[in-house]
Amino acid sequence: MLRIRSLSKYYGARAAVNDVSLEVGQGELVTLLGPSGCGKSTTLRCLAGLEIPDSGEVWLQDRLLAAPARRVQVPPEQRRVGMVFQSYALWPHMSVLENVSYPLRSQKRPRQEVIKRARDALELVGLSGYEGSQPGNISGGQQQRVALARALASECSLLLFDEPLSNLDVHLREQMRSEIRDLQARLRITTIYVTHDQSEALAISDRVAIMQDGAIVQVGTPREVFERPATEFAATFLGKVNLLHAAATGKREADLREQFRLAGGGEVHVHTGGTGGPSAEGTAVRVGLRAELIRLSRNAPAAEKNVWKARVERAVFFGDGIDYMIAIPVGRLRVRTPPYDQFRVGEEVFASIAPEHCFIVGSTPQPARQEEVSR
Amino acid sequence: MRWRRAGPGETLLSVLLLVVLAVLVIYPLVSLIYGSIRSSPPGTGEPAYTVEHFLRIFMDPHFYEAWRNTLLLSASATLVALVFGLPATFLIARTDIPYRSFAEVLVLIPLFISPFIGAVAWTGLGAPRVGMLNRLLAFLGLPWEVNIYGVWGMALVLGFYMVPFVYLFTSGPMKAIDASLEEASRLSGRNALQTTLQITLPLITPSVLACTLLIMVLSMENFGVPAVLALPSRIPLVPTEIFVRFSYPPADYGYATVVALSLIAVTGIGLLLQRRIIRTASYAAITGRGYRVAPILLGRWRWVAVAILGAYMVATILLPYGVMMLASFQAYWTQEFTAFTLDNYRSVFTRGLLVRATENSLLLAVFGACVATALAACIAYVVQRSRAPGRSWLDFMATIPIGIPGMVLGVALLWAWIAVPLEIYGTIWILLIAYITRFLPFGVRNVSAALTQVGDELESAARVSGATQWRTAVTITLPLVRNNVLSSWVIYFIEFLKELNMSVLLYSFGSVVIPVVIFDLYTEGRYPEVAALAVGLSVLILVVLAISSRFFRIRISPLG
Repeated sequence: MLRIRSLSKYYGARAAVNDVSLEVGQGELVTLLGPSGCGKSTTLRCLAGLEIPDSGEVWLQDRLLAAPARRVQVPPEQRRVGMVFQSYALWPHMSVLENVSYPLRSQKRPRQEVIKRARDALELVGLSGYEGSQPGNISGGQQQRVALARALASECSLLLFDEPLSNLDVHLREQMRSEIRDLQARLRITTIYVTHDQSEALAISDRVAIMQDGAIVQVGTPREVFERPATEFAATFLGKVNLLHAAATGKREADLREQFRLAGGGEVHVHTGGTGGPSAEGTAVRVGLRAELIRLSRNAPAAEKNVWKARVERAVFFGDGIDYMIAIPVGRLRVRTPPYDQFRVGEEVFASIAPEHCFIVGSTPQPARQEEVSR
Repeated sequence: MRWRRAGPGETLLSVLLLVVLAVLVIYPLVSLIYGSIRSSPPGTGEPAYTVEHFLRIFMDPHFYEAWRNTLLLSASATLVALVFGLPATFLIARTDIPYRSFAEVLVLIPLFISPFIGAVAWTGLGAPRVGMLNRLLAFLGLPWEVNIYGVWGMALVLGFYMVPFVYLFTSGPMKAIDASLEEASRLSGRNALQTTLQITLPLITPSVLACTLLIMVLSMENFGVPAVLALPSRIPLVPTEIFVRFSYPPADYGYATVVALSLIAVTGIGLLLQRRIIRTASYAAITGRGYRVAPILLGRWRWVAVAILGAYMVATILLPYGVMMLASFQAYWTQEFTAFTLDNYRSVFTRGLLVRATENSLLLAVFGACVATALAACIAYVVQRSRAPGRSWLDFMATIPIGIPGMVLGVALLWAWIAVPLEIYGTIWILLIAYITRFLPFGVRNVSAALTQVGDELESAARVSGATQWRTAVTITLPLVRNNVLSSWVIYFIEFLKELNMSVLLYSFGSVVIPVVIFDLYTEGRYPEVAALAVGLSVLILVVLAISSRFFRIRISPLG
């Protein structure tokens, strides 16, 4: 169980981590997701003790690891935290076994036990037989596994991953991703995983925390953050999204479909989920339509809601799909179709989307950050 | 320009350079071997061949004593350099110690002032009776006496002068270490000190080993420090042994030549080992894309660290040079101070010997640096940028002088040029040849390094635009490597100005140079005049260095 309370870290006047609070349950894997410079790595390093936060608290189980206000700052070597670095950080002057047993050797355990545990950790990641190898002589994927074994060997209560897969090629990345997830779930280690890759985050996590400018803008299960992004940033960061300006009409049907008036004219129906009543009439919102979920057809679709006449303006073939830019009466939409849905540029088509596939985000999604600077 | 064949122009240039290098490098080495088996002194008698010199020396206990002293000196000087150099480098390269950039300049200063001048300065402090330290001890009524003359004194002085090499070799690797390697160790339960010892130090071991070997070799072949601190007390060392047999009557050239051969054999092996280490054992390949190397925060230890570093700088630079400066304004250097005088400086302009030495030194430094730079630039160009035949030979031959100690090259040049019926041996020209040969590798490497940084395509673009190869070389290539060419010139200028090892063997009455005069006056015991000359020389070097580093970035590279 990990608790982060109002964690902040400044570089000069700039807040690299801005009032981050997060609770992670025992055995849970939470991803910090965001673009480079969003503060996710700095947050992770504050957990490891490699950065000293300026305010806030970090608790691991019942142990206070960092609390500047109380002058608590446990050095990294006393935190019993395992970490897998982006560059793997394998010591080139030690063999694979020496690397993995290194954390154990500081724990004053009998030599036999140290060796056994290190071997067990290597077996866990499928590297039995590589004990004597030098890190420089094994492949990138194997180096990754050694780094993982080293982090696991010390039986830490918190496991940290700092973009561990970004140096691997695509195929290896997917394989390692599922292996890390399987191991983590089997060993039930509380884990924080930092990445800028949205599909990696969605695939691996119990929950995803989306970060922007040092702050967490949304936390939720992969499905929640994907289907109901809280902010414009969260929406656009997780895939290709069209955002349309709209105003609430205050009307909601029994099946929870709410009506919004689009800025350019016409209406859009959105399945807003069950929470609370409909938005007050006139509330400005943005309606999000995912490019993959918009359908194009030559004939008018059977549905009567969320259907627009459109004209194809541009088509780009990507192999596994086609990217269209279409013009509808209220603006332009980006649409991603399967590769066999072929339309010519200039062709008149119908575009439609199910209300369940639409979402709304508030129109002032930018988190406040300027006020924090002058603390 | 990989696609084209060698043009006639570049082939001609390559052949010409091969001939020049054969004369400068290969010919003296062959002459040295020839000299070692020649029965009569150079330039006399009918040549007859003999192994008598070898037999004579291998039976001589004096020879072994010289080697034992030299190895002891070399090992202890290296130890001193590492003990002072590694912590200083770590502080400057890896921590948030205050005045870092200033400290970085200071730690490199000894590189530009020769150990010879340093040794002269140190005698002002540590000579028995008249040294300032001994005067201070006597003043305080303490019964101890410091004596800088001897192996331990030499080891200290030489060690201090080798500290820059430790810095040059290890600061880069220390800075380049992927920070996550150390962070991973912290997370594995090791504190900062354990991490430094178990992770950081082993990671830079190859660099430490490489500079250890280089420093051992440089300490072995150094003549300046033993000339000042060992000759007066008659402690035999290999370089001084060469000098004594060569210069003190009755000269024993055969003996000097064989000692020189033994020296080049040992230093050669040392340098070959060193190059192997540099080439093979490098962990640098594994340093990944780390987060960033943050300086280690020393906290309240910052000021303790800067005080220790400062004390080191004061003790090794300020004190000896301050005392030497003081001495240069004294009429005599005795236990009592005399009135302030400028006579010592005036004599540079009035005494015939000093005037001649100054003229010769400046001529050699300015003109010699021009010739050496031009030669080095041409060699680097042909090696890096042409398809001319024999360019790998050129590269190889231009590297050889790294392994030839100055004293050995001096002896070799005697054998090579004394019998040549040209006005070379015994004139200033033999010094010019000696200087250029000895220091050629530095300029070649410096310009080569710059050329490898400049992509082919810039030159290809010029050729496609209609420029000839020579026009391209002059208008495109040369301006692009301009800074390295100019910095080579500056380094040559400084090295030539302070060269003692070869000069002391090859000078004659008309071709005397400043370092030789300093050495001679020192032997005569005229310390104030020596001090004035040494101060003048050091100031000149530092001024040139300061001016040139303002105008273009000097790239300092170890000569070894």
